[in-house]
Amino acid sequence: MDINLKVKQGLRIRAFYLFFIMSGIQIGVGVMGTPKYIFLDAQQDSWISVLMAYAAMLIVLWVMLLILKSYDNADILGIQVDIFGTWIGKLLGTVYMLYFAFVLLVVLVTYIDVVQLFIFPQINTWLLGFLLLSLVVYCVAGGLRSIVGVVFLFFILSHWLLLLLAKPISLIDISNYQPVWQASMIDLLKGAKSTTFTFTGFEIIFWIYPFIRNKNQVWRPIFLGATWSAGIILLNTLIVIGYFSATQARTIEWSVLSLFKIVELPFIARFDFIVVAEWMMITLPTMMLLMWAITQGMKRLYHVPKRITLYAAALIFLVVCGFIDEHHLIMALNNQANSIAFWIIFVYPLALLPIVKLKKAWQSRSKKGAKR
Amino acid sequence: MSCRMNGILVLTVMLISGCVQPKTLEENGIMNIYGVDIAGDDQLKTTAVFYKFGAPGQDPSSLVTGQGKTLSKGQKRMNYKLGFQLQSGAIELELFGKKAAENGLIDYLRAASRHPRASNNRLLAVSDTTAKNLITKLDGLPNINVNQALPNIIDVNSHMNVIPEVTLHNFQKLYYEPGIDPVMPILSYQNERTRLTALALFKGDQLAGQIPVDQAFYINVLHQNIRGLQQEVQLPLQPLKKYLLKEPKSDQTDFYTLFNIKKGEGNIKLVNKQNLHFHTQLNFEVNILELTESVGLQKPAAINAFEQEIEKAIKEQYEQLLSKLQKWNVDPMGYGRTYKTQKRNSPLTESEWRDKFPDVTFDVDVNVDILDQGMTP
Repeated sequence: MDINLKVKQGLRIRAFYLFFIMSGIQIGVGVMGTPKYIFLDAQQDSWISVLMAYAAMLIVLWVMLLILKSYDNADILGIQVDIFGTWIGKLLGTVYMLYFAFVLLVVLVTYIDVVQLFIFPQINTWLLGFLLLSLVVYCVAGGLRSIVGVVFLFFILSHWLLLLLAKPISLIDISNYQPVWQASMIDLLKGAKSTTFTFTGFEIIFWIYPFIRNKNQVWRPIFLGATWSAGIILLNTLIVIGYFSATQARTIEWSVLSLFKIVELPFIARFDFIVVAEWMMITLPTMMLLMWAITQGMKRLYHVPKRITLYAAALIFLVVCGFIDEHHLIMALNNQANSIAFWIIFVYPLALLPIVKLKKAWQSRSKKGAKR
Repeated sequence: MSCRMNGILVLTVMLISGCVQPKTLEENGIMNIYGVDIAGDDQLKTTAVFYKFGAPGQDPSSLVTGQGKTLSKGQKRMNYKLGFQLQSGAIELELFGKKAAENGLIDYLRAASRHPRASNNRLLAVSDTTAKNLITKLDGLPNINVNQALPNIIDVNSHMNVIPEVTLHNFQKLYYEPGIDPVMPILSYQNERTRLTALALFKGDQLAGQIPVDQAFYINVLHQNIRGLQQEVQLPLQPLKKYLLKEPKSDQTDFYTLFNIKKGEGNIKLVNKQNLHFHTQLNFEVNILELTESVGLQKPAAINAFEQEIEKAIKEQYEQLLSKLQKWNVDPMGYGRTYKTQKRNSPLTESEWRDKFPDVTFDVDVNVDILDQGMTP
């Protein structure tokens, strides 16, 4: 397996699109219900937990870029093979890929659950799964460039939802945030850990990096994209704390969607139906990028053509999602994905960096020795 | 377009339109007003005024009642009576009987908001007898559209700032928050019309007392800034006698003035944390609209004296209201909420505030600025 990828010039994308990729994959189904889980730990100081998680995310992103810049044009699969050898490297790559598959399944069934709860209670799970997966297959079949184009377009087409938050903002109660700094440091850290599942998605940088045309300009769009998604999550958390009382914030399941329930316009009485339908435009970029990563992984590790992986994976997801329709099961899967994500995304790059640096230092020393 | 693209589109359209449960507007009843009462032995009586579109020329609005141990059972009974489903997603007003309100409303409200498809924006009110009584009497009147009349009274009055707007969301929010109690308007049937007669004060979720509607603005001013509310106040004649333009009409010692509150705001400050002493500041900017005695308000001295009298009158009424609230142990203005924002180390609990509120002390400062008194002296 090649450690460094050779990507054709025509298939490369500009670094500018990383902003949309970052925001697109991070803002997904998690945003709908996260404030409740952060609130359970940190209460009215949840916004401080979000800021702490944002700081941690920036550090991890910087570490990831350091790891990637140590190689010419490698992705995480190549790096792992280089560091740990072929067998363990491939095994770790497979684990990463299976993690992506798990997250994709969780995103899919969570969104289907929300649609069934809010709009169509009788709709068949398989039908919604089929519709969503056929869209994902259609787009991923077009390659990375078509995926990035869709992510870019859907980003712009879905952000008007933020304007609807004006009504809940007008009903915010400042006393809900006071007294400030009541939660202990441990509670704030626990809240920050709960926020991390919403922030996950940025590990796609490890996979997309070889496809970027102008790698020297990579930090700014990544930083801005991460700040944008963190800003949206912070805004949602602040509004949920201010709009709902403490007991409601702790118990209402889909708190962000409930914020939209009071929005009324002369032509549409209940906006939450529209919002849930529009949320598909927010979920699809996440699913597409994850599916692309799975096809890319299978091709790199096991030389399986992308088309075969795509159709086979879509079929497997379709069959499995039909069996996951109980709300408790879906929430349990979300929690499980959350725990795994924390280790793979936040801890693993921090552990990998010293190993990569050591290897590179040892390699350059042995090269110097060979020169002499 | 290619064949494949066409095929995908056709398949998608077929699936989307065919596999979703249809809810035809003409085959369902859309509930607009929902009444909940307690009957004997744990039974709930539900009354619904709903729209049923379909047959042209027929009045779309009708009324139905049901009974059951739970709200859903009551609704099911109503469906059986009618032969079609009633949809609850568009309920504009939920009316509770007085007995149901005294018993506790949180179970009904939780049932109403449990479902994501429920409307969070529905108005809440209490009937001074039973909800069924109020709705059926009003429905029996000719030329009255019940669907509009009842929510309108509340809507108009809350837009005019007479009463705070009470929706399903903010009632629950104030109920769950320790240190503040929710309120609800009380509607009664008088002289062939429904009137907004009082504001119900809740202790938790149980009706604990009521205050007349014209005192409701004391609570409203502490929840939001009031703009454009007309208020009438009784003032003593004696201090203003020297500014009278002509002899007083009768031997009355008091007269009345009607003013428009252009801008009213209220603040609560916790002055002493140990003794729980609160300072309430009420600021009003008013326009004088009417006087029952001709007090000349052209001189600055007259205006000052008038302002002071209004301030005294409002302060007295407010302090009387506060002592009533302490007697009932309800806190609709949110003194406990102010205390909670400054209480560190342990959050304020509902029971703690109930113990402390009757012993709390207040001082009230009212500031009235008369902006203008009209064109005549």
